[in-house]
Amino acid sequence: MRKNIKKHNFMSSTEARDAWLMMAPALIVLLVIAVYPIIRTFWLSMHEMMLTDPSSGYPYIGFKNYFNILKDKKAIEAILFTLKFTATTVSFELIIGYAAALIMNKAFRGKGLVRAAILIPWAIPTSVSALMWKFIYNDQYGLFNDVLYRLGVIHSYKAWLSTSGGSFMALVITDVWKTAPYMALLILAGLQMISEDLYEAAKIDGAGVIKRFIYITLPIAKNTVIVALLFRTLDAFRVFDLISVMTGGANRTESIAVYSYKNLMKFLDFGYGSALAVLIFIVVFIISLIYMRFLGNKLTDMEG
Amino acid sequence: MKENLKRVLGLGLTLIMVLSLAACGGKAQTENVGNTTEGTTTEDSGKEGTVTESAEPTEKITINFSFDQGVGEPTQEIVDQFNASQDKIEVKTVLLPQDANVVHDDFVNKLATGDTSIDIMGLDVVYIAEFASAGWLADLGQYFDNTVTDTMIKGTVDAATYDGKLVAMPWFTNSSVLFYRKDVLEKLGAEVPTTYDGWMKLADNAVGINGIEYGADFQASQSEALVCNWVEYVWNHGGDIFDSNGKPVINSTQNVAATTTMKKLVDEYAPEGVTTYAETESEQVFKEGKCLFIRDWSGFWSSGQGEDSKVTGMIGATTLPIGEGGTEPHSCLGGLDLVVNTNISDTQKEAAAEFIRYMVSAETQKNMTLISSQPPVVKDVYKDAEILEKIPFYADFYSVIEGGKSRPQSPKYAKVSDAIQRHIHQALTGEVEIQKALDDLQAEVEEFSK
Amino acid sequence: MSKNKKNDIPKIIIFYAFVSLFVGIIVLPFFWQFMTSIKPLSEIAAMPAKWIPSYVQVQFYINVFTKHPFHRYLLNSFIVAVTTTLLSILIGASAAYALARLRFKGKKFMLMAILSISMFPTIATLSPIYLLLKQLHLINKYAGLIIPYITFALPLAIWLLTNFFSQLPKGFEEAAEIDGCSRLGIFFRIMLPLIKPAIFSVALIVFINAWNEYIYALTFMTNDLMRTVPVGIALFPSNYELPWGDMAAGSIVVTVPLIIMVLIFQKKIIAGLTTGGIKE
Repeated sequence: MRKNIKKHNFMSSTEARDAWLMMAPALIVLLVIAVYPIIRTFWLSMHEMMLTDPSSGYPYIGFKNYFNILKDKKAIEAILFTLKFTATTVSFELIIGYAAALIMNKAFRGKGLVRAAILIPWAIPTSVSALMWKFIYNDQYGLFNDVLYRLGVIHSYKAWLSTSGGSFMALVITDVWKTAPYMALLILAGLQMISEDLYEAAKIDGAGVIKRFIYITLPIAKNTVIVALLFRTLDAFRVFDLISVMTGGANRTESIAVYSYKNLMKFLDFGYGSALAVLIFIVVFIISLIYMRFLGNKLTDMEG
Repeated sequence: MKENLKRVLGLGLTLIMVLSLAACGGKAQTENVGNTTEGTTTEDSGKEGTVTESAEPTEKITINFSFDQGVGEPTQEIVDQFNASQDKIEVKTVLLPQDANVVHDDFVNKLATGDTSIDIMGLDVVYIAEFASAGWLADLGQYFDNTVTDTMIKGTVDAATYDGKLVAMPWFTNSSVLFYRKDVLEKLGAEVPTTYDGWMKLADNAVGINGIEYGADFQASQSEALVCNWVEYVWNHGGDIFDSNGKPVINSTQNVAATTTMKKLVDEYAPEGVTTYAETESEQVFKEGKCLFIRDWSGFWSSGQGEDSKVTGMIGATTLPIGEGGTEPHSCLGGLDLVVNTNISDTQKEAAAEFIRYMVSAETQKNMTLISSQPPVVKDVYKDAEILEKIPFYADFYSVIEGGKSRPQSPKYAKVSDAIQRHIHQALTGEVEIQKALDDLQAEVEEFSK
Repeated sequence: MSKNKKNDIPKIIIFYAFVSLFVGIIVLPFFWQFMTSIKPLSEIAAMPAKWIPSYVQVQFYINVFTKHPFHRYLLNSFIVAVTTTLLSILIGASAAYALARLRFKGKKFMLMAILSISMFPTIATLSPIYLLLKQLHLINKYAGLIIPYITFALPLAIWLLTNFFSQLPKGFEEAAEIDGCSRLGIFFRIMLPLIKPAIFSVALIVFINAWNEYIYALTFMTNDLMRTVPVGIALFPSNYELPWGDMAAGSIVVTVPLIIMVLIFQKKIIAGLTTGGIKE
């Protein structure tokens, strides 16, 4: 879309006004139920607010809750875990998603079926997929043990969710299973923008598979991949459902969101819990700003 | 695919129409729900208002009674009997999911905001201190004198008392028991051991007999169940969590010994996954016939010998063993108390007290025990002939309950429990040395006991 | 693979082996869950695992609806997700139209703001919304869940719809203007009908997002009879029974409709998903 703006007569004078009018309902709703709560979370995070202790009067304490995060070993552990989880899952999802997208970028029989199958993990609730996989990892009668045992990888059944290493692996596999297909779809959409002619031309010039990948596929799909990557990163950083259902945060798998939730809804420490929530918000916000930079052209296009 | 497009589109539009119809219904419902609650604070939408208000005298006081589904059916029966027995008070039930954490969080959420939609709650005994210290529980002392509490098992009354005030009324109790495989012990010609060492020795010989794969089975997942299990090892090795002044004494030598015993059972005797087991998982393995013994709540006596169990008729029960330093076995007490929301009016409170009086009378307690198999708090019920005929196991069980102890009472129990769960679980899975785990736990509990 | 030569056959086999492996891994958990849901209780815990049950029983499916208020969970999820979807599209469509096709100052900022709101982590707004709903007595009410759901559903709907609107060729408006249509007239009579199929794509995606939401539903619906499916099913486990069979049956009950929906509408969903995240 180009920006050839032709000012037209009677409509243009009212155009901006109409635009705001048409957006007004949505903006008001969002201000009230999304922007205001975020500001209020900031406000809560500056107060000492134990709901179990209303007699304290919930005094203002400035940034004390934030300093407490730095002193809180559990919080630091949760942050480190979240970073590790995010880095691991997103890299696996990228590799597998990319590979799957390259496969699907060809025309073959049954492609429709594969594309449909790929959507299934995306479509089901995370809590349900976490339950399914939890059962699969069961130490006594889980499928995971059964398959590995039959393949000869293990010689006795293991309790995968009883150690921190096993729990981490279990969470990563489940998350990758659920989101790598989605990643594949996004990347596929990017790949499909590359025209066949380009490949054909390169082929005629004698470029091999690897060369074609490096010089044609990668550069063109780069932005797509980065966008998908950022999207998954901010999603992984706020991971909650999966962990809460699968391990409940046991074995050092407490993500920052799970820890924040625990402080909020279990200990009813709304001040400290809110400070942790703000932390997540800030990180996610920064990632989303970077994300939007990569969407920049599109945003500008729409301005047209 | 292209020829399908039209069809899909058509289908889509139909669906949108259907959806929008449905949604109008949904919206209407939402509004209704909103309206019913604005004026009154009586009941949650969707709640089973089993008792209707038709054709009844208008002056009835309505009491909302909330508790978990685990005891849903028997309690409903008792409540119906109460409602039929008099014409002044009407008790409505509000069921919660069968999960101690969820129930706790639900009550906390309501009480912390001064909600009055619930008058009476069935509250897990470990949370009494937390709720009482927050000032959420009505003092029941003004409605009940010793004649009521004297009929009850002392431990349960102690646990219902905070700061010298009776803030809760024991409803039913629970205690852990060591269940074992009678058939295996008979085959080995062995007596029931009374020490952890004795059980381990027995387990060494038992593996392979009658399908036994594991010497021990209990609950060591990072959950409240782990706290119950661990404090028993602690008490039975002569240790404790807090001393008599309320100071944490967690990294004592007895507690290290206790945790070492527990870890040995985890490593060498229990199923691989025991550190992921709560009650249900552990029971499943025992019911499969794979374990020599299981530490579990008394209710497993009947639920462990149901249709799906392979060990029906083979289960014996005994007290927990003791370890080095322990003198007599203590098991962990559980159970539910009835508590009254302090924010409700005095008339409501009086009505609530009357209902509670009904609930803890010897007659109702016996009734409840017969239909629910929940251990009663009134002592005489354990000696009742009809009860003993139905649950013969109660003859011995009474002494177990009398020797039972409560988990540490603390206004910050939720935090104490969370800390125990984390550190002990790490010690049991071998992530952290036992001594270090207990030192860390001590430091953490000291930090918020200040 | 239109011009297959004979020596390509091994390649094709390898290719299909990869594809089958990929699809197999995706499908395996469902297969296992389905088998678990129809196994007799005694075979769930069988060792070595029994892949195919010796006979089929539907007890778990009966349990799902008799031991748990699963029909209520489904109804609750349906009411909440459908209402959320409709409200989001109703409120969002005109905003999306303005963002995509009208000229005004600050448009880029608005687009960015809406996109970033759609990415708000739910946990970050949990505490204030909770306090607010408490005050309004909306805990355990449908409205108490629909309102917070709008926080992510509305910006998502606006963003996706904006993308679809901006894909429409230029010139429609001019033509309509000449015919003397007002701005609202153009929007309702020309633009909306044009993007009907897109609205449907967006509705599906918003619906699935709302249907699957967990944290808000967990926090704001504490009454068992008001729970939604994702939370209700996760809370099946209790202290008194081992409900793997029930959970398997429950998962199948919720998953199958979603799978059918995905299979029927896959093109639309993919169109919606890819238009939002990818630069064209």
